[in-house]
Amino acid sequence: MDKKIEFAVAVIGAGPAGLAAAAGAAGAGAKSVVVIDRDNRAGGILNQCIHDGFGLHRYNESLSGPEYAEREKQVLLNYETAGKITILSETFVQDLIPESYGFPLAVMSTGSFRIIRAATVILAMGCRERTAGAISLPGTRPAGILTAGTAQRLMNIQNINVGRRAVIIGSGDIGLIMARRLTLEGAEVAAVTDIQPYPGGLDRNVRQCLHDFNIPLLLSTGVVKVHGNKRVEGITVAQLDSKNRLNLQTSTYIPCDTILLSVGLIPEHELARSAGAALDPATQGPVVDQHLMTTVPGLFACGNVLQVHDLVDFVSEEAEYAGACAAEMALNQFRSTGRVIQSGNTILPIKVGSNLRYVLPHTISKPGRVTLSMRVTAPEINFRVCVARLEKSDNRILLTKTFTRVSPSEMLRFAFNCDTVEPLEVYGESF
Amino acid sequence: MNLSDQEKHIVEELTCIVCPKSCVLRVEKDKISGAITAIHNANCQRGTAWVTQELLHPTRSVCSSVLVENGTEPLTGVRTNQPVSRDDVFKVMEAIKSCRISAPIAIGEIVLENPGGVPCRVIATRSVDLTLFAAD
Amino acid sequence: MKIYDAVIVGAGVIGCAAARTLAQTNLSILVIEKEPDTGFGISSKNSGVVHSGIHYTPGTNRAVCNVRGNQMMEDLCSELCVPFKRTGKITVAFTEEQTQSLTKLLEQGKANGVPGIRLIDREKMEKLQPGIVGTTAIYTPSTGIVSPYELTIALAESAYANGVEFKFNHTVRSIDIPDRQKKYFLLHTETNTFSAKVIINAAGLGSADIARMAGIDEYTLYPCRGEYYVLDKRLKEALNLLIYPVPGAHDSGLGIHLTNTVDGNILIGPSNEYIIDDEDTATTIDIMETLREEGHHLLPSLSSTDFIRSFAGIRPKLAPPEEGGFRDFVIESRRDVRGFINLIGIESPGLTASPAIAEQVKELVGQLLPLRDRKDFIQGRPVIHNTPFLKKRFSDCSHDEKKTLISQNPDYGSIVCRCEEITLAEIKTAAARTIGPVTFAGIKYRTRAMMGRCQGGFCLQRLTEILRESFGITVDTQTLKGPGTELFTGPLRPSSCPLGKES
Repeated sequence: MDKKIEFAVAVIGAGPAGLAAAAGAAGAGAKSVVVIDRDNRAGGILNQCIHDGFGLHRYNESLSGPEYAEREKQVLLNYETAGKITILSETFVQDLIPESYGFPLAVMSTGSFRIIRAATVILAMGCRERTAGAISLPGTRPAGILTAGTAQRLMNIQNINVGRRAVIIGSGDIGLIMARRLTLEGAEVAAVTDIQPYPGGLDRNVRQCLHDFNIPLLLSTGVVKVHGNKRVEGITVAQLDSKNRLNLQTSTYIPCDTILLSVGLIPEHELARSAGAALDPATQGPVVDQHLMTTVPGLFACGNVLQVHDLVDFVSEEAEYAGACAAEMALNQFRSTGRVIQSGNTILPIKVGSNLRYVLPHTISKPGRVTLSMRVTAPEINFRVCVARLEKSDNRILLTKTFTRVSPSEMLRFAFNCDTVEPLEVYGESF
Repeated sequence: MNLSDQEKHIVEELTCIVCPKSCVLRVEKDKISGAITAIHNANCQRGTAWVTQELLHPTRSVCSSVLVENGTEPLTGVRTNQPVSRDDVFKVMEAIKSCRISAPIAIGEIVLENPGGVPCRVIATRSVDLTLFAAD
Repeated sequence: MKIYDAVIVGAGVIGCAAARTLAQTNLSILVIEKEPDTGFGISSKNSGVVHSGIHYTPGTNRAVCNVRGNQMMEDLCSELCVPFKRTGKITVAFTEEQTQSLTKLLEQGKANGVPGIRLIDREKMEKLQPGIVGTTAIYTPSTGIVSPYELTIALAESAYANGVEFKFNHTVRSIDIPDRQKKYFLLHTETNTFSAKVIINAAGLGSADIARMAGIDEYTLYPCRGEYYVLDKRLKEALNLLIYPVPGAHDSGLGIHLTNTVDGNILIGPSNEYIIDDEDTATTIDIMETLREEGHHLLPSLSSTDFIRSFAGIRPKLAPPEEGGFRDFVIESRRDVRGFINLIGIESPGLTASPAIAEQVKELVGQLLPLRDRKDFIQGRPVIHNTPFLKKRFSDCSHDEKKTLISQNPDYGSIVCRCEEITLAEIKTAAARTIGPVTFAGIKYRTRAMMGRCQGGFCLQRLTEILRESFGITVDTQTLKGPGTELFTGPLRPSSCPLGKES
């Protein structure tokens, strides 16, 4: 087999993460970057997100998804023209098996199957939606049950109308956005339900998508049964009691012809797993160090395949950094030694402390600036996050960040200047 | 808060949507006139301005899609170039729904002027190329 | 009006097996099916197990057809390119009572002629399935698994290519039996009437109703629902062979068990619940919870994200709830209604028994009509609608094989369903070969598209495009499983919109 390294960096996925990762890699000096994307149009999920609210951090503007994607693509254009970045669209990565000399990637597209080889690989495939099966939706399986994101694509890209009267299960952002979208198109949204006692999406989406149109938000509510053998006829929901069990006495039947599910997103971690990368059960994404490198040397991850974000601006930021780190590794370590090893000699874990569901990165290997991202386990007011030495001592706290309000639906993200390499703990507490 | 205040005012809590910080603003309004008498918890001037507008004259951007003829895709995304009064959202939507444009479409291209008589422009947010195949 | 030699009511696995077997003769045959496709009823909603035949009383139709069907299945599947695997099965005793039942099962199995059946001890059990619980078990090496939908589809395709006609979306509403005036049966559907010399009632859950239309009112079916979970392929390696508990004497099923599927998923189920409505394939909160618990118990490495889908199938039971257990399959040629052949109460192990039942049907038909075997019978998996069958799944190919396939047909390079790695070439082939109307469920059963972990989240929209562009099926007529199951309400922006911008 031809062992020539064709690309310094291969980026899998051309959504917001892939685009920024490629730009980050080229910006850091990589002269040969390939972006492999299954879609015919770069931008990923942004293309179907025709609502605005993107880019408030990155561009100080409220852009729609396609406009945000276009801005990101413009950055790539110069590199493409200069021959530094190649985009392979409508192309699938079949498998990714690390070898001692770079990564061979089996890629295929209409009429073509070939192996390309890259020194480093950045996973940027995003996430997928949890399905009716994943939440064990009880009842029948008629036509008219879709995930919210599929419905969004059908409506916004393919010009297909999905229903006339909908109930949306789960109050994640896509569900909220779709509640508004359906309403504006003249469909009726009978209710949005969530098993949690608080909404899953951002507050501003609750306000603009539900309150504006008087759409009821039924919290602490679960599904008892889906009705209808052919097309959805209705859904029975009931309130959850304090033990999180359905109280059938509160069962309510809501007639509808459509059920949209917005019940969570799961990183597309299959390639990471098949490449042998360790996964974090909390994020369902790969375990990474501060350079966003997975446990497979030379394999990086960023964006929603690493952790499900709520703001695309942070995806771009994270991906640019991953791109720069991958390029740096390909240019220096790989070029001089022909291989990639874990950065630094000591890899120290960051312990996830109280009130936090997860913390990224999972490990720190050398002093420097580290961007920490995390999610809390429950909504709190007057909350602080502490970065501390794991070892108990009087002056163990290295950094404290305070927040007036935190919620699991909003990722917390801040920089930490790590001047010590020792085991750390990040924890949260109310004050 | 004393008893007479409670009688005169109503308090509304709003989550600010200006930026993703989502501050919860407490707004006191006069029960009779609806006039804002106090705003608490506002951490920036933009928040204060927003909450005033949101309660007195709420505005929204309208985002939707428009049918494209002879395009590589059947739809383009569109949005209003500025927020419109919340009461006018459905007027804008009606104009958007009953409109059709021809490819090619560039981002930012004006699709409609004053849709449904509402003072704003509807602009394309997704480019659509001309298809090489004849429409069926 | 054309007079068919035989009309088969029902295009499930039994009806299709009978159709194919009779297609080897000179008879003209029509299959009438109320659904838009083959195998949309119980034939697609079961464990897919090819049973060995240890569970049934020697000499009964159940026992005889089971053992014979098991013998026939491997060759049949190989001829028709249907995925089949002889996995073997362990039936485990956990209690003293169950251990005693094991001995009875062993004797029964031997009497039925189950090959290789034997008692095994703890050590052997552990060897076959490391980590298994229980002390003693029966091992039946002849037990296997088959793709139940593929088998039904393949049988129908073979019958169709050999001249059998199919009418889908036709529900038989009434039957006129022959009398002095007319020599033939008349079967009335909503829109048509068909004439037949012989009727073969293979209507599954509707078979008692069909019999009643011919004046045979002695059969009542009691629908009994079984719910299942489908597990992620990640656990493929976790289960070497099938593991069942010893069933109790009055159990209506064989107990909740783990089953491999030929596609690499594991099934947990089925439950047993007599219900009223024989179309009520709803899953229920309580039973799904039981299945999840049972799953974690039987398969400790199971994680909560491994449950990718649940479904329910309904057994057409002749045994009423108060009686429990099993009654024998009804396989009979009526003397009172000459020419009427009943296949009633064909629940488990009906899938296994289907080729053997078809043989019996042929014999019964032979007593009514002169049969001659055809010399021009097309063997194997035939070409349908000028479209040859794709023998090997793309996902099962090596890199080199994939490369070759793509160079021969570029559509192999375009992935439609990424979870199951189904290509455009395979989708187009499946749609083109469908005998009746093309539906999403039909595509799913033929290709496995939408059956993976994302359950169509990615490929549904691509399938919509393919069906519209390559098969001319407009968006508002695309259905999940036939009329009434339209997936979409039409275009969002109809093309009648006035032109807003000068072109």
